[in-house]
Amino acid sequence: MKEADYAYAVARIRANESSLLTTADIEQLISADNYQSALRVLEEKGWINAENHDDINTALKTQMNDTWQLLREISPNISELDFLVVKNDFHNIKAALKEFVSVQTLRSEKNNTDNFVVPSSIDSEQIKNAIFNKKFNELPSFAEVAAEKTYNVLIRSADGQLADIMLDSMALNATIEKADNTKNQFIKETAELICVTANIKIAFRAARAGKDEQFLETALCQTKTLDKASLIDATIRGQEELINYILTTQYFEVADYMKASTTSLEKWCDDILMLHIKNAKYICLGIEPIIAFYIAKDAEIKNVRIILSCKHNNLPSEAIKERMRKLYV
Amino acid sequence: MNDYGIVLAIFGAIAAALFAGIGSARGVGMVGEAAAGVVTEDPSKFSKVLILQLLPGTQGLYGLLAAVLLLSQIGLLKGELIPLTMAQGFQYFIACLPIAVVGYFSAIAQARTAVAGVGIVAKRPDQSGKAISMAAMVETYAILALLISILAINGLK
Repeated sequence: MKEADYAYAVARIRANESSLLTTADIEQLISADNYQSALRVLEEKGWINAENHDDINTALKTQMNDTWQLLREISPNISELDFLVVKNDFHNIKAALKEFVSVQTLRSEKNNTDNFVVPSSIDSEQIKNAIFNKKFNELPSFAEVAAEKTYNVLIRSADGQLADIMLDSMALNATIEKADNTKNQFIKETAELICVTANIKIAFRAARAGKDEQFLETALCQTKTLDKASLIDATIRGQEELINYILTTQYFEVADYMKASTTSLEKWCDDILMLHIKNAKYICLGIEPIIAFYIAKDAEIKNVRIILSCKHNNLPSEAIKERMRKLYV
Repeated sequence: MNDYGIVLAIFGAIAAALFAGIGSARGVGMVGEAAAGVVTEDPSKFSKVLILQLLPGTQGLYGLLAAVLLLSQIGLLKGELIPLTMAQGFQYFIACLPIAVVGYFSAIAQARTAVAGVGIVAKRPDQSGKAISMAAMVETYAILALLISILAINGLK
């Protein structure tokens, strides 16, 4: 695709960017007296309506799905954006497998759609039918292999955790593969950053839990800027060694956040991605603003979710502010 | 030999109209796509984005102007062709190059600036004047090229 082909799409994105929540909006939400007041602020911003108050999860899901539908409508080539949602496909495979197992063992109903996430590149019903009917070849090739492999693991060993780890790792590898297929440098860098931050989070948790090399070999994905073998080697030697290794890499600044807390590490992982996409604000032709808008919306929804969750648990404003991710606008 | 001179001069006129026209068509199309994106979201911004869309269209007019001037000078419009030597025809051809080349590239450059301006209108409609001014700056170089082409064509009388 030539960058001029994105003129229409970028213009629509720019028009929609004005609907993103600003720092002032987030401040208003944080300073709301309680959970109900926060919901009223969201209602004023047009995020939810009075009927959604009891089902905020669906309202947030709808926000993300609407964003994806907009991107589908305006993008000259939607497959270039698949790397953003491919992780949801793997999540849906996971959900379908779990549903399959519960139907088989507990004889429960086959209609639990709550566990499926949107947006995704494959319809969740298609995934469900492929798994329940063992017709994996009805899925796109990347999902076919993943579904069949984890299905066999689940059936033979009944090890749900192993199946989860395998799917998470395959999701990260698929993200990089889909990004590489586009040959676009910005997409490749974005995917790399998504996978590197995921690897750092997995390694950090594994070091704390004292997980072994085999676990890490399965759970981590191969990235270009953070060597997998060295990361595994450092992780199995403990948290201190992991932090020391990270200090020798280009991601050295995360070391301070790893020392602080898991919450600050999670925040850094989201913020570094936001810093990466911020340059897209100054690009007037190309796919960059489209990708940036999706990631910005994702971060915005994450912020709203954190605020509502904190308000629900009556946490003070300072605690909420600490957790707030950087915004795009 | 005289025929070749005329042919070269006509090639010059064609180049001026063709390249500047192609540049303008591509530019107006590109800005039009961006403008349509903004109007889809907010139809009230139509008049603001329309001005931006029109800006890269002027190069095509400049190319046409240079071409008409040349064709009139060699007598083609009156049906009385003036005999030209090969050297004279080549001089006319060269005289058309500034607006042909600068017209094409400036129309594309102006379109890109105008597309960025459409982005400004989408987010900050109150700043549309600045977006138009920035895109209009590119026009300067198309006007300079037109001036040189006109002076050169007239100087070859």
